[in-house]
Amino acid sequence: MSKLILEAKHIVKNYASHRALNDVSIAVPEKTIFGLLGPNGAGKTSLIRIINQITGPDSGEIFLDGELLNRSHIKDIGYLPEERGLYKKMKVGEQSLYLAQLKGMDKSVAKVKLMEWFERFEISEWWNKKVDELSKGMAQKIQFITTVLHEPKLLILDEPFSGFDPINTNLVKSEILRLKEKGTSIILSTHNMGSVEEICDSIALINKSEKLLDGTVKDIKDQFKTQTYELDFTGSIIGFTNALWTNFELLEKETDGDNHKCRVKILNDKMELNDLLSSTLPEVKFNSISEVIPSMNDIFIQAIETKNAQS
Amino acid sequence: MNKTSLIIKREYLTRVTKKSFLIVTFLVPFLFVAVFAGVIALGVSDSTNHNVLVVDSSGILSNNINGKIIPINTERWKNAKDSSIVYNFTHEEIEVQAFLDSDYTLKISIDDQTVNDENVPMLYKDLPSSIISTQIENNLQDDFQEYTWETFLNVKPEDYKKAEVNIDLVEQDAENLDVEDPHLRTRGWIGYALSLIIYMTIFLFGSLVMRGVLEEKMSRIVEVLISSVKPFQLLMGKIIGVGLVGLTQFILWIGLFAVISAVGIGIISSQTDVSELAAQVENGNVISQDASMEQALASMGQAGDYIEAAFSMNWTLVALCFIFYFLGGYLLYGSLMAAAGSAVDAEADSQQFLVPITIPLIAAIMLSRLVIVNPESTIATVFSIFPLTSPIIMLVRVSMGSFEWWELALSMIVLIATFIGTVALAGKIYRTGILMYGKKVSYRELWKWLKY
Repeated sequence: MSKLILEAKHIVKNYASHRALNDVSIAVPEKTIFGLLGPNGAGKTSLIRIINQITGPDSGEIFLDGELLNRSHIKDIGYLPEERGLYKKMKVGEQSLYLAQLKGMDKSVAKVKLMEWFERFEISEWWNKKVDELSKGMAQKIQFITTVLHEPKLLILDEPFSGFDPINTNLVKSEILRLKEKGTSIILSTHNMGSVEEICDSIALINKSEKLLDGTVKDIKDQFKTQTYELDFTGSIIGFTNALWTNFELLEKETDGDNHKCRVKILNDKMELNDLLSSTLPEVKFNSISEVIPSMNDIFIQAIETKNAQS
Repeated sequence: MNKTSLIIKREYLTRVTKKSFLIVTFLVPFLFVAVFAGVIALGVSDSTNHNVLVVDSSGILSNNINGKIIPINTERWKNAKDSSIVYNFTHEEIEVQAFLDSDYTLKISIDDQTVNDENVPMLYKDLPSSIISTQIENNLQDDFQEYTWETFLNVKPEDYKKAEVNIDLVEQDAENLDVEDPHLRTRGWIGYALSLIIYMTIFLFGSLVMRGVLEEKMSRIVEVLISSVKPFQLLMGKIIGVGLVGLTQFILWIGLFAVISAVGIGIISSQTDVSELAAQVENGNVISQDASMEQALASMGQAGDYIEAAFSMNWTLVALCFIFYFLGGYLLYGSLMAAAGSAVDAEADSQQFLVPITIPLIAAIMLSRLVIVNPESTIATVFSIFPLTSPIIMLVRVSMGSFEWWELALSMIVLIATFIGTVALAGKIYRTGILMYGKKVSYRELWKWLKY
């Protein structure tokens, strides 16, 4: 496994009336995008706040780039919270400079960098506007810039796409990928599964204060594969169904004249796609075959429902 | 640059560069003076004119000279000072209906029995102000006093004046006999005025802090901020920044007041013969035995009393205490109000926490009147040390010069210790409160936050 930018070990966090995190460990590989997933109230924000040193864990340890987390790491992390905003009465440029300086940046350096970002986002003319003159999407762009301006090693984005229109969502998405190319490690907390499949390399799923599963997106998908195939063929559906026998199950079928599209699940562990094909080949003419790979959304729902059913 | 100082700088600059700051800074002193002058002017002068009919059927107060009824003491009833009262004497009583139909606004009736039962009925159409009534009563009192001296004791009014004495009790501290001190209470009232300023500014700047906290919470910028700085740095930066705004405002106010009062004294001295007063002040010779100045001050009545009292104050000490107790009180109450602001989602919800916070402050203002009456009582001592009231009470006592040094020292130490404690406490509530949205917070909840 590659080098870890962040490692959280056995994190426990209690609030007065409930336990927000129960022995949660995550490992974020360097220069990748890590999806932190989970339903509302699962404990994602609690974990993120601990990584940002807004609160401390009751027990457990966090290592950033191999070092035990401490105040000097503030400048190495960029954080875009889910609940985010700006000073409404302050001018955009002034405010961005202030936030950059709070991250420890030198004022003149920050100004040059800000100008660059403002130009790339085509918002240079906003510099002297007050935030309450801007639309929500405009303000989000500024928030994104102030989060990444100090070039943190680790970027934590909590629901970064909420509030953006599709065009700006794509802009931010491509910026995230660009930052990854440049070597930034990114934690993306979201329940927007589409974006997870698109850009995440690995994920951790948290539910009810506990981690349910983690790993690379590919491994997890393999883990959740159910030996189900989508078969597109021409011929007799009755012959096909009869040939399935007891080792296979027909899940869905869609018929258009002589053309059929079926989803078949292999029930017997010892059997594989070739067995399915050889038993049905005499009956029909295949047009296409593909494995049904579960979407992250399905995995998310399935994992949580399975867990909830257990408890 | 240190992060806390960055925050202080932002808090300070965003406020002092606002137009409203300049407007408040320059308008308040003028408004203050205008309101005071207005209140005094309103209180002193009764704008309604009074036409008083004095029915003197006894003939004690007036004589019939060639068919005209004229008061014996014409000077007294002439009312040179306030021409809004006109007295008309008669010996013939009139009916109530006749009074109502007449142009007279008031009617007082004196008869042979007045000397004995000592009551003078006064009929009115509209109730006159107490100032008018008092004036009439004083005139009657003086007239009858002279009459009884002359009638029963055979003493002429002129001789009676000579015999009259007016004793002033001069309170003196046995441990400090050199200081003659006829202005103790008056100084108390000056101290009271100073503590009112402290009271108002604690409210003003305390609520500025609270609104600042709420602004960051409501605009949702706070989580971004505390991922860069500690919540405590943010809280302290805000409190100190706003406090500096307060100090700046004070310094500007003091400057403006100095200018206004210099102009004011200029106007007064050009009109009266107190020009020497200004000269005396310039020479630093503040307590003058000069008879002409005494006279000048006496002619100014109560205002003169206040000026004399002001000159007898230890202004260096008072000014230092003023700054200290403003800062101490502001830090104490400001941090509590910041905590209140962090615990709610909207300004309207803050009332439930603000009310209990401000009760001690309001109580202190009410208590300070008792302290002026009895500055060395146990109550005065206790509340000038109790940190929630000391910024008000101790300042009054220091202004009066009626305190022990150990009391002042203890009061300051307790205040410092308490605000350190309160700031720490507020920091804990703040830390949790700023990230808490959409939750109605109870006192029990706050108690839990303290233990996180």
